[in-house]
Amino acid sequence: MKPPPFSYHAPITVAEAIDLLGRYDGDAKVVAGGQSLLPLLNFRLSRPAALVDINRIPGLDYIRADGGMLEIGAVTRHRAVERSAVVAAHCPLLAEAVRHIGHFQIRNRGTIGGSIAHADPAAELPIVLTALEGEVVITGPGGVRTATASEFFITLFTTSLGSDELVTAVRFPTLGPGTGSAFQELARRSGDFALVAVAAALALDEAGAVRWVRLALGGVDLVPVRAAGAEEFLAGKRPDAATLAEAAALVAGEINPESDLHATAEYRRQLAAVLTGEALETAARRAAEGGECGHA
Amino acid sequence: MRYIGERIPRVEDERLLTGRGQFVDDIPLPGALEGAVLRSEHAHARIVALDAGPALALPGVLAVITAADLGPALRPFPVMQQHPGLAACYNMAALADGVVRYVGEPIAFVVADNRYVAEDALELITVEYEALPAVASLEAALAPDAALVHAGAPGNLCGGFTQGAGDVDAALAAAPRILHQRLRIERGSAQPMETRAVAARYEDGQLTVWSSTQRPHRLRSIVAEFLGLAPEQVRAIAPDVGGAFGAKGNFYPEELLVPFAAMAIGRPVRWVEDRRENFLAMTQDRVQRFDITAGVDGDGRLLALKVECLHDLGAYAPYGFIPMVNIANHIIGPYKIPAIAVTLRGIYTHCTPTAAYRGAGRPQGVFAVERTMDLIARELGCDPAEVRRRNLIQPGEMPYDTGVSVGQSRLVYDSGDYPACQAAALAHLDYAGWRQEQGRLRAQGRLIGIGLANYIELASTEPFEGARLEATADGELIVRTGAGSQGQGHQTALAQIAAELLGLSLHQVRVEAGDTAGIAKGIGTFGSRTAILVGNAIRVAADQLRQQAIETAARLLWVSPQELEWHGGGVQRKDGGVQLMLAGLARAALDQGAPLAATHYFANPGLHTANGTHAAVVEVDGSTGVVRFRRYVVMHDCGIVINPLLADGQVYGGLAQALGGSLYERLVYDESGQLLTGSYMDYLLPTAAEMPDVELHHMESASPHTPLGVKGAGEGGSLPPYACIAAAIEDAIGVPVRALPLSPSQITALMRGEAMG
Repeated sequence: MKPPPFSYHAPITVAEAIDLLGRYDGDAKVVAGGQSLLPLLNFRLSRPAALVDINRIPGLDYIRADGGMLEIGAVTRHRAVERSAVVAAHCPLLAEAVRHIGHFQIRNRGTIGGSIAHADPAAELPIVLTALEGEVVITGPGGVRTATASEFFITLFTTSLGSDELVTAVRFPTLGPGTGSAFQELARRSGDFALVAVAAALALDEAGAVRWVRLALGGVDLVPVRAAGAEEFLAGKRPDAATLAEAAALVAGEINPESDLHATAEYRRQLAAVLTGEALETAARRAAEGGECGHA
Repeated sequence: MRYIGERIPRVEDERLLTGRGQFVDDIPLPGALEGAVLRSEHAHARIVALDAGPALALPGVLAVITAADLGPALRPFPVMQQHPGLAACYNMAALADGVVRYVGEPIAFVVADNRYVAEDALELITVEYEALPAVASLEAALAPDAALVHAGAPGNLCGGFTQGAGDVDAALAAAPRILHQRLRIERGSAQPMETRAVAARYEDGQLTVWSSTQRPHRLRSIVAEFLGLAPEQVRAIAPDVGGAFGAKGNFYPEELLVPFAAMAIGRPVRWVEDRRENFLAMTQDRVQRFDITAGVDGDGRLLALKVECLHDLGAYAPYGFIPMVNIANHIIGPYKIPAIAVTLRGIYTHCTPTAAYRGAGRPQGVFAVERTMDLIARELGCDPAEVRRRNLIQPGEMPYDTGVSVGQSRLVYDSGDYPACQAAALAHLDYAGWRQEQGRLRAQGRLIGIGLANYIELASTEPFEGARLEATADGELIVRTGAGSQGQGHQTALAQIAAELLGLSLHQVRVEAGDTAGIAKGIGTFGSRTAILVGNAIRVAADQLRQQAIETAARLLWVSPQELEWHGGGVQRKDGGVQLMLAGLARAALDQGAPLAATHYFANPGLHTANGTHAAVVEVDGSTGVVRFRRYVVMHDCGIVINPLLADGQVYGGLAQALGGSLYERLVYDESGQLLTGSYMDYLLPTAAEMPDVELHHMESASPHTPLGVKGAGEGGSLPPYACIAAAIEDAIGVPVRALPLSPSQITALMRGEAMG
């Protein structure tokens, strides 16, 4: 379990990093926290000619909120997000989800940009990004562009990121008053990748009916998915127990999980329904209690 | 000073916890090369051609050793223990010779400047395989026309035997009720924190081998024999070892390849197994399938028990039938069974060989009989605790002759109060209270289950173990033994025994274990044997040392030995005059021509039967199948407890491993013999977060066989949890649990009425 030989570069500007990535033309890997890449290297499953270490580039480690958007620099550690008062205030769903990532040792090293770019369909951050309709900030030779979750996540461990592009930040919209969100997941052990994870966000109108709702699930497909059928069903309805149960059942029917060593597809469907029900109930309660900015 | 029975913190911990341990990887070996093993990618294939040329051409590569290079060292290693039922026994050799039989079997050994280069070289060796059909499960191995793992083992049968007492068929014919069940328990492995590691240096005709082994003396014998050296030319050292759990008791190919390479190249060589190799190449544990027929009377008393067990050996049988014999012995348990017949068959498959792991068959024997107790309770509508109580051996029946003979000896239990042990566990659990609570919560739709399991733990005390006591001129007492520590705490527990028996301070005693230069003969640490055998070897040697000291002092003081006595860690005149302490006695002995030292090899004094009861309350989430422990109570009786802190640790550790085997850990092979769970992403070890809060109580039924009264404690914690957890889940969901491990997905499927896949 030693990696094959590779060149190592530690650029100090984004431009330099992008230039390096371009020169290796797809044969270089970006390393930040190393929590996913290093095991792949040590198993010799990934054999890039070069590693481009972006840890020394200043200006990629930040958390800031403005204009209804929470923006987090790519090399910001999960632990920083977990402990950030700004995140708790402006994106409680993210604060809740990030605690499920691995163990604290992993969260001390792993980065926001790395988790997004790795695109594990059961990882927490891609699910939150999908639920909140956030965007990935990408810097390439031609400048900066953004991609939504559906534009970014192509399939298992595969994104639309070009070989000479770098994820430089991730943006999560702030939901505002009258909204509520919740994250639920079940893993075999504490700290494992989720068998199924659900992120729910919703807004209630003055009458207490659902103004809008977004449901994203991980671990049930090749990328994080939205449960559009259940979202549509819930719109305009009061989130009482029977309605939420019906929505949860709809979710189980509209996902395409697969069986693996740890759980059957049928079990994942059942779990998706259970966790969706719990997430929706919590999100609705939080919305009724005053909403995101209220309980920050 | 009184030390035995005291809760003394481990003296080795400061060193180990501050990173000053000396594991094989830490041994300073200037100029050492590093090795890497080329392992088979196929579960069954013929090696048509192997080209090491490009690998040898890589800068930094010193050697690529293949089967052809090994000469007379290429032959199967000796089997750990013979058994008359071993009809077709095959053991592994240092490298596969022409045919590979499991994924991970060594094919070549690369030696290079460092491990990185060595692994690069592995990729440059080209092996042309002719893939052959593989049998990767018991069922596949037993199918008609199944491919054979060994041509000399038709039907993939290594052999088998029946062990028992009474006429089981007649007893079954006469029994009022006959019950059946089939049980299955899947593959797992020991997963020591330190993987295997071997280093060797050959200088001036002397070979030194460091290995993370449980059996350094056996390693020395085999290495000497296979490499054509005299035993005195070989010194084997097991330095600090980071966990073994039975799996490091085997003699492994790398333990020959590394010294072979060191001798061939003339430089020290080190090989440290990585975790991926450990998953493939360290011996594993189980599968077993049990077909159980029980004859019972109307009160649930077991009249006859007939068990047929298939045991998946994997590709070789390095341990012979050791785990199978343990299964048979432990199916009897703490119960009176008038007629019993346990038939076991060892089956070869194209999977990693299985051998010993924490209990080495004992947990599965306990699983079989305890699941039978729950079957009886279920079928007769009785309380499972009451069914067990009716079948328990009574304290007045001790020593209890089971009627079962194993080889030349009879299984006779030495002591214990099994009914009191079970009753205490139930009382601590508040069994009656939880039965009421269970009904109350069930009415709310919540699934509470109560599980119970008894066990006995027979220590592996054959044939002997030794201790050498040496007094130094600094006033220290060194205890040497061949039974090294892999984390059990020998440096504390053995020092406690020596210090108490000789009246020394604990700080005066130093334990040096696991070095063949320290003591002439040794067997090793396994099978819950060290406290019994080394403890009593220390006791007898201490008597000898005391007598030697008195004689030494008598010569020094020009008095008769009768005028002297041992007192307070030294020798004094009975009339209260002069006292000589250990340092002075050691110096005087040396002046008189011989060191103050005594060695004793303590031979198996008879069967030691520790016992205990585990009781658990679980709650199963009906919507997710997740099992949560509400209570877990352990009653543990290992005779006289030397150090409760260490005994507690043994129980907790054993429980954690069995929890893994019950709910989390499973080695899954696909049909072609590829391991699908070969990393910690998929092989799930329980962590602290998964452990139940354990309430642990000790009883002390002294063994009558020795004055120390100790029994085995190393495996008891791991024996009953499988059965206890299965019983609790079954009780919660109301569906029979016949196989382990169980994931939430599988529990949910059981609740839906699906058979387990």
